[in-house]
Amino acid sequence: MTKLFAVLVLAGAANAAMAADVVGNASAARSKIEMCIGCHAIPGYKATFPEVFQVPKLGGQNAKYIESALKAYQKGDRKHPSMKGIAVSLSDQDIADIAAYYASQK
Amino acid sequence: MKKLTVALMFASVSMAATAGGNVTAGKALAEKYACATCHGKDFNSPIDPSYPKLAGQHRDYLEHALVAYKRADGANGRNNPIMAGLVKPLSNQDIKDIAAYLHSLPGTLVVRR
Repeated sequence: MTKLFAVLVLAGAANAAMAADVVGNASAARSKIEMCIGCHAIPGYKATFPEVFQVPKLGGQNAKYIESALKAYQKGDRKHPSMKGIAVSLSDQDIADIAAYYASQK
Repeated sequence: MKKLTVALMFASVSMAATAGGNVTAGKALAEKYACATCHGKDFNSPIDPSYPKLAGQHRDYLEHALVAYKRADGANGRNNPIMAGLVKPLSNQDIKDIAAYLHSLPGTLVVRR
């Protein structure tokens, strides 16, 4: 039991280390933004739920903020059905790449 | 009839102002609630990279985000310990005014493919 616990702790530590090591690569995001551009690349595009509002401008936004927003959708801290659906399909690396991509736009 | 027309005109003018939010009132509210302390004095340079730039962001999105923080853990809410406390005192009109003010600021955010 102690051994199992130790293994789990180590695994947890390895996970944390991996999370810290994820570095966003904007050029790797090209193939990953297909799901984003259908709304976020269309000027004036509006979401209709739960309010009617223009979806946010992402270009030039802070990469760390985009990451934390996507992770909040993933985790359920942000409860937006369509964004949650998209966020849960992304890996940590996908999220870092997409965040770097949008942050680099001018 | 004339009176009614005038009354209707006034009503529609004041409604338009309400729907759009008031930039001056929003500036005062942003100062009152010290939004710039975290989001940066020009709202383009947050003090921490995990906080969003707000200047020039879409007005209606900003409203939606603030309302979502108010809904907190409820349906379609946003659960954020910092923003939860800050949005608590805001009326719907306050939210519209703040959103109008932040949207009016010169920003660097863009919509690109």
